[in-house]
Amino acid sequence: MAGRMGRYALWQVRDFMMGKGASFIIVAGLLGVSAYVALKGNGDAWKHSPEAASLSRQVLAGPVGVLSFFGVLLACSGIVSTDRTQGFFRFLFAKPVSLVRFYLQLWLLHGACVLALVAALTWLWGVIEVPVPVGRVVATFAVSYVLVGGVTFLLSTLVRFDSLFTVALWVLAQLVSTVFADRPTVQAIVAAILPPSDHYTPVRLALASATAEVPVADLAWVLGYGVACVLIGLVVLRKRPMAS
Amino acid sequence: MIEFSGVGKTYRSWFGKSVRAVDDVTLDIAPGEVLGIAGPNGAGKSTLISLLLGYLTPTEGRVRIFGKAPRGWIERHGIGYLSELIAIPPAWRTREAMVRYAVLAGVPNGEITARVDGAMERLGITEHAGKRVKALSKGNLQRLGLAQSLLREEQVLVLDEPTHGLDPVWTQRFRDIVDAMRRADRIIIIASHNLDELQRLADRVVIIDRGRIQRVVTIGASAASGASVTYRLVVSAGADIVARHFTETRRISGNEIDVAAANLATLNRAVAAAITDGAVFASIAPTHSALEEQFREAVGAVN
Repeated sequence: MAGRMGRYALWQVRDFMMGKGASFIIVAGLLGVSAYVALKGNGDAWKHSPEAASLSRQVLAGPVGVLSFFGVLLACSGIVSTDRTQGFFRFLFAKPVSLVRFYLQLWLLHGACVLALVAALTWLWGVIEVPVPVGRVVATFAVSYVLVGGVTFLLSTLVRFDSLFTVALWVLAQLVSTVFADRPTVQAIVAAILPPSDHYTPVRLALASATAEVPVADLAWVLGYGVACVLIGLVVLRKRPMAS
Repeated sequence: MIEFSGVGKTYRSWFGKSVRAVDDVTLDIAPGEVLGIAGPNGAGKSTLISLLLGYLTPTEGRVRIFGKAPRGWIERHGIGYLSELIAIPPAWRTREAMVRYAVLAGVPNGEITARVDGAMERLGITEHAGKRVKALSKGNLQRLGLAQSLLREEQVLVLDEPTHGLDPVWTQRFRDIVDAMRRADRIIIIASHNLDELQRLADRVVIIDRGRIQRVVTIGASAASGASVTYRLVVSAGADIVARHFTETRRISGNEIDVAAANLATLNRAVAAAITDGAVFASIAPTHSALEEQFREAVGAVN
């Protein structure tokens, strides 16, 4: 099975690059252009100042923040639910293919494609403007992919409008942390269930700066939550019938 | 061997409504057999097939393919499957879809081109190789669905409404393909509304209605006995003579009479006697096939 799944991976990558990958590039391009225009207002002199790298990074932080959430959401939306609702699973899984393995591979490949695109676009930004640490930007997207992508993957095994539910859960998580700010016990219980947006933000901000230490406890929580979502999603795939 | 043992399936909605789609189905299908599944719309045919593929889990009972749970067996061996609704991503091109399914089916790299081209040629879709799936006509889409199910020599072949949307030429070719697919170790299951097709192709036909097996008809035995078949006799002379030689008759028009015959021997004796007495026959044909008669009895009895 490994052989045929490996060969099919090429088709999965192609599907991503021709569809969601292209959309990702367009959105990233538009955000990049807006950042470029914002910098151009200052002329070119800033590029030679000692703060050039810092300024370049700060300008890019906005687009990276937006794209690391919505870009990942785009990359993972409908990853299972589209096949389920459109009935595409019927021919696919009459073949000797493990459903769990198929979708896990798809999720991992989408993640790899997103990170490759981010690395290429960040490098391109450095060529056009002032280089920023590609590794840190890619790491931001990697963390986001595990968390946001993991939540979306799980929801995609359960509901039709997975990306909508991911956004709703995210908003709910932030609301809860605000509303129950003075009741730490309730907040802790609810926060353990909902996506850990409060742990994710410090990780993202640390990665956005060039030197700040990434809070390990927050990082572990974020990655653990995302991986747990993926694992639960795989169990759902194994247990829940594809047809309804 | 495929086994359904006391299988039931109830669909339940979020609002507590439930629909019993399959009820207490027990059925064994042996290798070498072509099994037909017939039933009116909503009888439970497609649910039964989804249970066989593991796309649905039974509410009670169990389904086994060669002793294994459906998903476990299919994920190891694969089956040839044509679904009632052909769902292939519309942006894929015809040949591309075939290559993808061949890769997933585990066709070795070196054989993919030959297998894909062979299946496409067999189903007459080579000229549509470059077309997107969304641009295919209903008939061509059906042929693409059929072609992908024949990419590999599968031990189990499940075809749900296989001739839906096919023209008469391709319907006949489909029958030839199924005949050619018969093998001592292969199980072929065909679900269809087309009783004539099942009569020609299947060894046994399971008639289901309201989720239950109403009758299992062995085609050879049914054809040989000619049981309960109504024939329409058209005579150019001697309609009254004909009526005297059959116990059950119904006059359709001046020269058309429907008669019931318990078997072919009875029919032939009565016709011979009528000819001897002066009747002249223009044609003799069954109004319904033997299977159709059985179907009407089985389904009509509960509807």
